Amino acid sequence: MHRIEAVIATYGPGLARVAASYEADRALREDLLQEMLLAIHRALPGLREQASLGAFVFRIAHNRGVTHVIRQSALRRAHTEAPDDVHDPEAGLIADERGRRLHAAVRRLPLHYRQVITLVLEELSHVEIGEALGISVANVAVRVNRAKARLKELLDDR
Amino acid sequence: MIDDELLELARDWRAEPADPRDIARSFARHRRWAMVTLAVGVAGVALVLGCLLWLGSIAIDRRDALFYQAAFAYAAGLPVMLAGLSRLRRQFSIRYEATPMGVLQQARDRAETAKQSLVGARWCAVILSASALGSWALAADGLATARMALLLSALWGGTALLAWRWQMRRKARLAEEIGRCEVLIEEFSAAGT
Repeated sequence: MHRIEAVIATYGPGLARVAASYEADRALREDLLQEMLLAIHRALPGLREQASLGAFVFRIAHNRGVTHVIRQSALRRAHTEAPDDVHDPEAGLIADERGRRLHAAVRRLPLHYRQVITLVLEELSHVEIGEALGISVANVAVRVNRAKARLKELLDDR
Repeated sequence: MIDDELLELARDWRAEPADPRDIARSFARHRRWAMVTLAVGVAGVALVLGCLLWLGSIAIDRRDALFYQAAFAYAAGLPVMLAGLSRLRRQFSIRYEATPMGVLQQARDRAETAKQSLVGARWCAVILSASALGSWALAADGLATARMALLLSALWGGTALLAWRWQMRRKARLAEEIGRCEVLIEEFSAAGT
């Protein structure tokens, strides 16, 4: 059986990036990451041996992310985006300017595109992405292409 | 599978990786804190239940209306505490097999149920307000002292006001959550499976 420590060692940085794709505010992002890890920790005993650990871990992370979006949107009176961490001098997670711009652009993508693109950027295969998001491989390919085009538009806009 | 454009994006995406050791350390802290919060919630409910039983048993022994009323007020407050505890407990449960669409549908249904169950909080506020007034009626009949009536009415009346305000705010937030879920469900449906 997989241990949470091993999951953190392998997927911790990736999960931190996924949390960053849902939340710009540093403190809330940290809380979200911890919620994701707690959920993964609780779910680990249910992981089937033959299932992909990456797909399993990111599925739970994205499910937590979706819940976060629903709750935070209600708290922030829907559609008012939290300030990006561009102005946060202590933002240690994404120091590089291009990385920061990319993370901000990913956060502006519709949720169904944001999910596939983060998983592609975490280098999951289309099969694993389909497994993680509960969609067909063909739909993964369609979403990836559309997400990529939207992301390009957003990056060119800024 | 991944083209050059995506490869470049992936490099930017991973520009500064977080340290897994830091993540593991803060997770260990978070886990402890989550357990403590849950334990405090359980202890709080146990305390209210204990007070309810204690006041109830005194009320039965002495046939004292004031103690009956106090036990009744605790009984009214218990569902609110249980609701809080169930929200805490939910943090510890996870349906790992759910898809994002399933999560959205579940969140919408849960928010609908929570919104409907707010009627309990409204009743709780009404019962507490009535109890506050009742304590003055008991004082007027000489079954309780004016000081005791003042204390209890301030406590129950204040709690009733807070409960009413809380349920109003919660109702508004739940309505927003439901609206948000519906928008996202529509978006996900349009994106296909």
